[in-house]
Amino acid sequence: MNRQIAYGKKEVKHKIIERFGIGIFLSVLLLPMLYAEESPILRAMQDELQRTVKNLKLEKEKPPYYVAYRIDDITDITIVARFGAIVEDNSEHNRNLYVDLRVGNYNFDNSNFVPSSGYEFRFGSMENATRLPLEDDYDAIRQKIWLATDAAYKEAIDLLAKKKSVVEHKALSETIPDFTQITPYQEIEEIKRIKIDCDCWRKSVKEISNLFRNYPKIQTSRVIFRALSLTRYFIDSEGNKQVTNNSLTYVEAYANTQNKAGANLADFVGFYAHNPEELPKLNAIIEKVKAMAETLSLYTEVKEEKEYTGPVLFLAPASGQLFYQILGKGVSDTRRPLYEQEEMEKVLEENTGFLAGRLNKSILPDYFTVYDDPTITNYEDKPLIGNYSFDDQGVKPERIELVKNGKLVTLPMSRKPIKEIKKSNGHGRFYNRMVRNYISNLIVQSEKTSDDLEKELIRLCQENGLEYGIVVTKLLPSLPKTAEELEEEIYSYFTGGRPEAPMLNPTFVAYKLYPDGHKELIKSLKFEGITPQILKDIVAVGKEMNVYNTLIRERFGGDAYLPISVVAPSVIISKMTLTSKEEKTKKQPYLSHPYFGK
Amino acid sequence: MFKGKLLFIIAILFSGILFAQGNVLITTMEKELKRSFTGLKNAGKEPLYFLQYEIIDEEEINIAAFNGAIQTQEHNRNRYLTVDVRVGNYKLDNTHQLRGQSGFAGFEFYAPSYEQIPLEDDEFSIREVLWKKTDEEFKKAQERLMKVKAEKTTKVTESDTSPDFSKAEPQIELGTEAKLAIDTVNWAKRLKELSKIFKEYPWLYSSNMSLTARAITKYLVNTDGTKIIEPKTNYLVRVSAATKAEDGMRLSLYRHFYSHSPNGLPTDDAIKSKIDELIKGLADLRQAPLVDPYSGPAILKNVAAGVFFHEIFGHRIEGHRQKLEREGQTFKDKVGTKILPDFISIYDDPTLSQFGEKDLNGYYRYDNEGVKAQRVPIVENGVLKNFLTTRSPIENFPKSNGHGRRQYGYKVVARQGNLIIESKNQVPYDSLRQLLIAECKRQNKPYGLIFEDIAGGFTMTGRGGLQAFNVTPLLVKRVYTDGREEVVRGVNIVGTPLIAFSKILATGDDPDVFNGSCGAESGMIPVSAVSPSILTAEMEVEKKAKEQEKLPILPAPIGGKK
Repeated sequence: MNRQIAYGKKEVKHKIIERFGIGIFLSVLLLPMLYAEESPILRAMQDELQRTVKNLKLEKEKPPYYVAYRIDDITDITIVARFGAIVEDNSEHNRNLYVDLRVGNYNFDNSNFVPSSGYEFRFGSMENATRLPLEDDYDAIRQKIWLATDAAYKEAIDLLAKKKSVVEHKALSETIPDFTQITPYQEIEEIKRIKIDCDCWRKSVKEISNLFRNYPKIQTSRVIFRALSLTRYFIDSEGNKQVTNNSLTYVEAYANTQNKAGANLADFVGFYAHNPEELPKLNAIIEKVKAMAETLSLYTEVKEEKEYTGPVLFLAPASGQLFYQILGKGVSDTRRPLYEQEEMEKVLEENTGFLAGRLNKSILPDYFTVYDDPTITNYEDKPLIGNYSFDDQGVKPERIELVKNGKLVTLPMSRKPIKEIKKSNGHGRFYNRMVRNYISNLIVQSEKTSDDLEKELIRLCQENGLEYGIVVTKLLPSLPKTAEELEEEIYSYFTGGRPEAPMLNPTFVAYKLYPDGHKELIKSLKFEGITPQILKDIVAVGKEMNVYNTLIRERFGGDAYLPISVVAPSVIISKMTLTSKEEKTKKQPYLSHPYFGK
Repeated sequence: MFKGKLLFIIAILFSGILFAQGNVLITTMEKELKRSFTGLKNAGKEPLYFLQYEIIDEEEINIAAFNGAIQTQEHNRNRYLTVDVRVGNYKLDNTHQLRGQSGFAGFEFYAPSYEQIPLEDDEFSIREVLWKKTDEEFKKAQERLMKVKAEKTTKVTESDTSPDFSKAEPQIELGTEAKLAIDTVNWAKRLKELSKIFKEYPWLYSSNMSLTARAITKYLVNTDGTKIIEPKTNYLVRVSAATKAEDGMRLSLYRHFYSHSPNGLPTDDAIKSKIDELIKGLADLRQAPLVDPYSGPAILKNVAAGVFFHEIFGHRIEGHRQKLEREGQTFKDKVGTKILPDFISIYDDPTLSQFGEKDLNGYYRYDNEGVKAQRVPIVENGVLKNFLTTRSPIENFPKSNGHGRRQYGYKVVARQGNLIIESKNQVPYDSLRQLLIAECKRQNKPYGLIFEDIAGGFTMTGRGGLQAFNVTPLLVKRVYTDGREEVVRGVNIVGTPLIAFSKILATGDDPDVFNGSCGAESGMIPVSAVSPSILTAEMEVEKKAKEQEKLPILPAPIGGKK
């Protein structure tokens, strides 16, 4: 499952409401219960691909050297409640076609390039999705594929010419190929859809949302249930042919308030799985949501905190966040596209891939082994949501050993090569407008573990003459941006005031741990001078492995995201500096909440 | 399969029952309005003097088919809240224009500001949203008024010194909620069948056959004591198709059928005849020569004339355009003077729900400021009488005439409802065509133009203002003085299109209705225009800039009749 699942949703602002859950029932009935092999969709794709490869060519231009069609058939159910009442209740069925058509050759083609005009504000996706009929109508689907291919070919020719002239103009000498060869793979699964009991989930979402009537310090809240089912059809001119299914189900509870000074406090807790059966029981969800609401309520009173330099203990989920933000992002997205305009690169690209230069060098203590495995769906009994049976380029994924005895030995790779590695290991994931080399399920293991990290933290503090140590349980979440925040951010890019995104998010839930065992919540602090070096400063590792599932939200991607999982132990980093961060404040609401003020 | 669909339609028929009892919603709105107004009145630096809550409850069914296959089948329901806050006083408040902004840095970002309201009538869940949004808007209003006041001290006085807001009579009318009643299963089947027609024409690259049904209920309360529940339903069948000419020029045509009730929707035969008309139009256009630059007499066919009046004339008589300093203010000083031939009268009347047999999409009873809709004579016997106004006064027009409109989330501006063009110089269409030929001869032109089909539209040019309203001729014919007709393509209207109005020579006796959606600074709103065909002595056109796209390289994969 990847972000395309979310993509269709973005396009359709007004959503379907399906009060009886019939939509899903209906779409299941509309799908002929046949093996996909005989599916008119697949036949239409194959027939048009064949014709394209054989005949598509403009006079004076070369024919495409590679063509891939991907059709994502998605059903998407969303139920949202606020303060105990349903506010959104939608069900959608979308079918989108994506064409990856390349002209030139493997060494130099139209990909990995962003021209300065025509693409700047296509924040959602650089690939144009074509909406397809929802019925399995061979003729209608083939007609759409034909025109999408034609448009893709003309665009590819145009892009290749532009790219050539930019490369010449910039006198770029280094030439890394644009595309690598793979072994094609054929696999046809039977079409599967997850079953959702919408009535039951409506009730549950309302019940969870209703909890917020017990927290007068929280201003607003929102509980979301979402269930996505994807059937993907993929074929290309190299012999790949796949029909696969994937699904994702989650519950997220968001809460917002302000502290005494008026700074925004927002938190959320999420539960992610492949299907509703895998989600925690309602009671377990309720307990976690309550805990989140309680901590957030406490945070309205937490006082200003001074600087701290010393050992820091990262507990789950902060440990998972730490490994994603430093290690996961560091090894991902190692090949940036060539931007005609460098300014745009700064706006659109994120700080990733910074560990690529450390290949074959030590990046963690030597008792660490890290691997990334898209093929596993669970860790013990916990679901991992980063899995897929083929990546977004139709490549069979491999379990890769990223770090061996502390040394970085390979990187997640798509068919987009880098200087050091020219082979895909099935880690091509669509994210931030294009396919990127990205992690999926990151498993961080340590041969050396300690029984009691809190004790260890106190010992380290005492060694250094510190009064207390800092324990972080949650880093500031990267929440979906509000329209207002997005506006401000886009504005700041154009006025040059864009703040540098920190490599590691500030703390959100953290406390001081004193030698006598008592704990004291501290305000959000930011980390100073973070470099990937902090991974080597790990001095103690917990025994237990924790699963951290998350949806990586795009900077400008609306509600598009990439699901990933990190399985990692708690760790202590020997020395970090935390300082207070500047906070925007707004007046508290003038009037009390109508419910609590009554 | 049939069972599933049956359940689907039952679901739709009963959907209204589970949610929403309108009176709970409006009572809840009143409660929070009262609490907010009392509590916030003197809470900030500037006093709160007006507060309004508007909730649009919108249920929509959308079914579309392409070449015989269902492409979209959706059923949505949402409730959107817009909060209007005014701080300061009637003379000067937070909505006053800010002038000192230019270039990108000064661009007042304008994203619609709305919140989704619970679909269930749960008092405190709804009030939480009302409370939070009110607080946000109140703070924004305080900040903005500070900016306005700061600017007042540093800039020269504006030319229009009228106040920012005016009083209006409180209105109370509690209608019943709008409900959808349509057989979606049957419509899906019909649309599928009808869309198959296009399949026989592989040179039509895209086509769409759709039905949109909407039940919209507006709930509005404000601190004047106004309390309104206004329902509206509309049903739209749309058929469109597009192709390209040999040189790559994009060609498209569409037809709409509009009705307030499902009973008013067309029969299959009526739709088929429009599809045939559309396919023939596109076939002609594909073969048609490119237009040559031309200036001379032209006929705008009734519906096309309606679009033209709406875009080129109608938008210029919207009140706020006479006041805002960045606007063209074309007609600002023209009240009482002759701007059109004396046989032409124009009025805007949102209270009309029909014209003849045809339902009007621009119909409403109350505008988005809670003011009762009114018939406004705009031009009487060629003389400009009035502008369309909102509760923000403009020079010499201190009161609203019920044209303050917007899509949820946007700020209200003056907009058209049903724009009606009347003529005292009517002749049958055939005679109008003869008059065109006679005028060509008089002006010594080899031919005149007939605009059969025009699309309107709003494009952000980045500068705002009037240039933004454009018309795109879709189907234009040349009529030679010997009576021969010939379709031309690539027509672009240039020069000052307003001149076409002042030089109207005669009109047809064939008034017809254009129903559409109009986009402007206050969002998308439903509108209508009614006009007879018009003959003007002067219209200037040129060739459209050439498109670079080529025809599809491969032939259509699926055959079909030639």
